[in-house]
Amino acid sequence: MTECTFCELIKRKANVLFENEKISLMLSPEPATPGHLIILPKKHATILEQVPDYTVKEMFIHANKASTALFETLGAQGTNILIQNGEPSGQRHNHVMLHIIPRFENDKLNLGWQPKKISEDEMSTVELKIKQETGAVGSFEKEKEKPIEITKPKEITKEDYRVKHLKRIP
Amino acid sequence: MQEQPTPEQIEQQCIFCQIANGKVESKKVYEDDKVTAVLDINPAAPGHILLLPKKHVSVMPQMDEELVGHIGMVSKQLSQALIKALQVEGTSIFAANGAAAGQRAPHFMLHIIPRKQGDNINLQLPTIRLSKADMNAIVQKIAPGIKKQFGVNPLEYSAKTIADKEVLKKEETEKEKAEEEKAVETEIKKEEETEKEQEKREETNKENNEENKEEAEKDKEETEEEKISLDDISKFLAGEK
Repeated sequence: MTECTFCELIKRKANVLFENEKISLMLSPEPATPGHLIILPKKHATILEQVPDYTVKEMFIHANKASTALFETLGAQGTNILIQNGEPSGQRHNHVMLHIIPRFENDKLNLGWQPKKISEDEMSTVELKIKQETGAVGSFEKEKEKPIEITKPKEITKEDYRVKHLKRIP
Repeated sequence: MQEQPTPEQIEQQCIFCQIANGKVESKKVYEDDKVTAVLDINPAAPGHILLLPKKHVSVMPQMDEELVGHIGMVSKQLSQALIKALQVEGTSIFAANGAAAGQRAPHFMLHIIPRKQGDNINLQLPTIRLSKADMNAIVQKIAPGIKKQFGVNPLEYSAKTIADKEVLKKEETEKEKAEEEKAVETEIKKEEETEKEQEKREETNKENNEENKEEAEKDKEETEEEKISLDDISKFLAGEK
């Protein structure tokens, strides 16, 4: 057995509702509300930064579809999209995943925060620091194109009738 | 009769449309043709980013694939930027669709929040107990929606529900057995296939050989004729003698 529980679930298609070559959509084995779904990159990655851009794109596109499905079938009054990236964010497993959580009134789930008061100075320094790192944002890595597979022509085992008669010539 | 508000009217009313399109001042950290990222003025933590689509949408299901995918990729890169810039140990990427999910503004936004241990941000997920039967019932319920959205029926899709790790271990042995059986099956299939291929080859060979056969038959006839003639000659000669 591999060390990662979720790699194992992906491999065995356990709880899986949909998959393509990059991602797996499954029912969360640890649901926060009934109908809690998760989307995982098939290739093992601990945090989001290890997942290629084109796979992240795929995760979000399918999260949106899954969210719509939850609205339509469970009569959910809302959905939460959540990626816990790193231990301080509450990430429990070493395989990164995107949560799609259907929400209902009185579901006792309480996600949120108290706004913090931050001085104008601190805001500005934080802004500058972040801006220094956002230069590369927006240029996305592209998936390498797969080599085109050419089917080889079948080898002619039989003697070619067009050259056969040539052999008769002494 | 109430008229549908025009996009301009919506934009005038929606403060986040104005922020996203640069009509209200903000601490902008990123912008492209589809989205704008600004610092939240009521942040959960210093560096809390709001990623806003420029087009007015209230909830995620109103967005097309291209926009959702773009927002996803930008959020990943902004998360990366936060980790580098603020030396934090993690980030939360969070969105609420609908008031029941905690949405307060009428404009969709994706929160990217830098995280530190003990920062009092409650984005941890509790776990409720659901039996395997409950899980199966949920799969049955959402299956039509999944089929509609993904074009695949999850029930035909070998959707096995597993509630916890104990079940996982129990099923492991079953799965191994099934895999072995499958392996045997595939081997049998392969054998059958190779047999078929051989048959096909023989057939094509036959067809190809027909011409040759005809030639060969002609040759045979010729040799027979020759034989006969030789015999005749020998008999004739003998008779003469």
